[in-house]
Amino acid sequence: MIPRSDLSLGQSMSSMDTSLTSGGSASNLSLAGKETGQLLSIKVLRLLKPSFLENNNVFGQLHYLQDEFDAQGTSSEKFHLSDKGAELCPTKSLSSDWSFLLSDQLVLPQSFGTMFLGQTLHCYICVSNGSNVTVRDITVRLEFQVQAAAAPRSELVLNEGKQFTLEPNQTFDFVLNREIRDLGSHMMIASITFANPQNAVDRQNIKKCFRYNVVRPMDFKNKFVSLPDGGYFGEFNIQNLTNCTIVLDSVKMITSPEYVAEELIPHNDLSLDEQLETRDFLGPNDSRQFVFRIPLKDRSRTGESMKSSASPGRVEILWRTKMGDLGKVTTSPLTRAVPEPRDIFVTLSKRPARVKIHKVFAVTVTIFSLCNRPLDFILKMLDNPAERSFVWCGVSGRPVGVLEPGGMLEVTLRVAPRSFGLHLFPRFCLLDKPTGQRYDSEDLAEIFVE
Amino acid sequence: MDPTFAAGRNAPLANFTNIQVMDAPVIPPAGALGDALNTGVIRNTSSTVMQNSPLEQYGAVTAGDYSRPGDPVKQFSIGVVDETAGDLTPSNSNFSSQRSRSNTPSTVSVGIPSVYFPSAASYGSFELLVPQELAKNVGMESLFSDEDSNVPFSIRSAWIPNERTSAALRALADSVPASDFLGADQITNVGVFSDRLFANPAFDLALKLVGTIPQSLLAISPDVMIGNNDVRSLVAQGFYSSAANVSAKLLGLIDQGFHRSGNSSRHTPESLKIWQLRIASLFMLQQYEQASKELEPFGDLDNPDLYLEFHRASFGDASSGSMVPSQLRLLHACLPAKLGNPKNSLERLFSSRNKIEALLNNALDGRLPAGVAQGNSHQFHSYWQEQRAKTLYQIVAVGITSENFEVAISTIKLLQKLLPSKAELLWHQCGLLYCHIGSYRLGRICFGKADSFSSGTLQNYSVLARKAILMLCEHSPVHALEIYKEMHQRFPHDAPAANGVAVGYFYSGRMSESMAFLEDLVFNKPKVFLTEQSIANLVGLYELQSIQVRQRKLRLLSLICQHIPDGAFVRQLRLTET
Repeated sequence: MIPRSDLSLGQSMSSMDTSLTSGGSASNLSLAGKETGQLLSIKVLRLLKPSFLENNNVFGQLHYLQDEFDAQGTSSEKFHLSDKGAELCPTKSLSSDWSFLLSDQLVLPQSFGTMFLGQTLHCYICVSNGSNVTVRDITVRLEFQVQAAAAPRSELVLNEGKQFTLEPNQTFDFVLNREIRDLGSHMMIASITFANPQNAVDRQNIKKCFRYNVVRPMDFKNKFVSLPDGGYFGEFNIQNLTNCTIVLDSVKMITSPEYVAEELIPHNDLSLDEQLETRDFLGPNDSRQFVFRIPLKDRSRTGESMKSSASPGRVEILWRTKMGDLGKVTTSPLTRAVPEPRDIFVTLSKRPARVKIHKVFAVTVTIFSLCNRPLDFILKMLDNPAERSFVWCGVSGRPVGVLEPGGMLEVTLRVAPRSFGLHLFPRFCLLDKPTGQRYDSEDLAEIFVE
Repeated sequence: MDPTFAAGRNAPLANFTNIQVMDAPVIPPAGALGDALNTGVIRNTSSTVMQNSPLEQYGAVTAGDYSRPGDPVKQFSIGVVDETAGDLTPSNSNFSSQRSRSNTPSTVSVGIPSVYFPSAASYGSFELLVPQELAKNVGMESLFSDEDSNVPFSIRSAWIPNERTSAALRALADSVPASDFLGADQITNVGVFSDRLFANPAFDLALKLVGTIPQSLLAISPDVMIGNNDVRSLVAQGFYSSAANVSAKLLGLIDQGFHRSGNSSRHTPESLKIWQLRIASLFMLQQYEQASKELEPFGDLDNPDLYLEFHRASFGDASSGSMVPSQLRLLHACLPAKLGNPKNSLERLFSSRNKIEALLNNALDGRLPAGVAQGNSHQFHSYWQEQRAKTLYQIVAVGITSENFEVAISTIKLLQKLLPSKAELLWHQCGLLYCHIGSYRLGRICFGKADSFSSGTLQNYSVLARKAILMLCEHSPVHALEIYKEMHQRFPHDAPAANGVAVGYFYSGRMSESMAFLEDLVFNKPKVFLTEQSIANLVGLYELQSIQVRQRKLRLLSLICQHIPDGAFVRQLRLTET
């Protein structure tokens, strides 16, 4: 057989992601075409990761291996096997009542499984000569086609420039890793050409098609909530669309240059025991919510950011399926609703969450300018006869100063609560003296009165 | 020869040949015939009645077939079924012919069978329990000497009947006539479902594909066990098909054989023990359908006639409790999961667990079941705590197969609280489970905990094994290769390590090296390395390489025939007849 080191693919395929450091479990790809009567055959096995052998034993059997071994093993060997049997190998253990279905014995993948977007297709390809004649001048060519989309076809000649020869019972085998970036039906067409052993003039051809379908592993929904300083809270909801259990390895926000991101409630700070209490896997149709705070890197650029429609970034999700088979998807740049173009942005930057009744308290109102002319404001406190839970303390109609383009102003207001419970902060309005334009505040906050 | 006996012998043989008629031209060498027979491959190539053939001695017989003249078996009648109305006292001399006729429909009673309750008078005339002598002859003694035998039966039989059953049992104690309180569905009329004989699947396949069966090289032969009707040893040693055949025969003896389902028969702790072993064998042979059909008449294993109180006349007034062995209960609970209904399995397991909890709580409050002496209270606790743990283990197993990992993990956590002495094992398995799901991070935490509990000479082995699995889960089998190589070097007789090495080679693109490595071990030390996983891995490699696949698989098959008692994992070979 041809030792791997002889293969020229080492180099020729590196551009195609072909390295040997892959894991995965496998199964025969669905196979079209007959191989009877052919000199050469080609087989492909998907290298999913090896799985644990499911231990199917019931209730107290399978002593025989151990007994027989004890009968003839040397003392030291006996020791290893029999002791280990009791502790680690439920299949050989006398007390197989005490075993789960899993044993730590690895078996090669038995089926192709499902191919998900973002996974890497690891496969083992083997060209073998099962005939009794030597086959010469072999070229193996792989072509990848994606049925949907206008995805380009790609072709890979495995032994470019160097045709090889297979003696009877010899094989030519290699591992191929290919990242799957398109949904839908995929096809890998393998064609082998070789010299006709009978006359050495014609070339014979074998073509084989391997089809597989790529499906979406998860659904991603996002929602952004604006922060007063121009940043956002991003809520991301990830739902498992597969029919198996997946583990979310990491969910990371790759932000645009002007933002940074931090995950709220990160798991890494937890102690080991606390981590064991968490559950990092998602069953079929389960979903999980992640919340990120995405502030601006440079807070002085708040005004610009409010107007720009630049995306806060994209989200990268690393996930694993059985035995830690890795998959990676990245969302397209996320869009968030750009706030309506307006001249100012008003927020309560400092305020108490709870206050005592009849006790005057102060709040700080911050006003950002989003327009390109200076604004000169008068602040008017508004009275809503239907809702007088809070009353203003102070003078209405006083000037608050000039707001330069892109600048901000802070105003302190004093309010007295009059009734118990959770109430909306009262409204006020700002009048621009030069233009007479009136800006009404919205419902800025709810404050609890006790 | 007495014509009665001749008829008795011919009838069932005719049945056999219908079950498994082998191709006439395939005549194995003399040595192979015995092997074929001892696992139930029956071949009758001529019309000769196989008198004194090895058939009987290998247990390939049904209910009617052991009634040879002079056979002590026929002198005992078991069961008090009234099939022939009016004749309440079975005649011993007629017993054998009656039983053999029972395979023909004419004598099978139709409709709800009447249950005959022995009065004190009739009771004296024959034994209701399996008599000692019979027990000796059919090897039932071995059934009693199982792992539970040091626990008094009064402890094992503790159980809480459901409401309907306990009402029936109370009524029985008050001597209400049976017809007033027993519904037809409350009588457990069981029987072996089919008269099919099981054969060692490996032998079967070898016969079909090669025509001969390689001589078994096992140190233990099933012959003696079959001769002794020692079902328990057969199951324990892995001769499942023989165990299934012999158990069917034993059940035939107590009127629960083929075609007896629906006819009333009598249950004893021993008969239920045979059922347990039979169902376990069927599980191992993956005959879940048949197991389910045979378990169906048992209902939820809670019918009044499965309680000792029901049979006070024979067991004495003080006896109480359920005769159902706890393992049969577990098998019964796990069966639906095998047939694709894990939810039903979980329901049964949880209900079992609740009853066990109730028993334990009652005992804590000082309310031991009648019949258990106060002095035995400690033993009672430890026995039922173990049963609880076993039930929880099965819950985990069902959780894993049905991918209900939530249940599996929370149950393991519960077990960790209940069994502090098994901390290492439980953390190890919890880690395996997390790796199985794909969460190497949590797996690593669990393995770290297992390492901290690990001690003694095996520490090195387990620590290495966990490291390798983590590496495989986080990266790839190629990364784990070095660790497996080290394990293989230090523990050269460990099959999981050897397979780890082979898998590592394969994933690095070195298929031929991988195959040569594994083949060398399997063919040179089959006793150690011929495991289900090695077979599965070799077959996977053969199929991928597609060179001489069939020849190579046949080589493995002959190895399996030689070294595995009942080659259940012959299916891993994926060999077809064409």
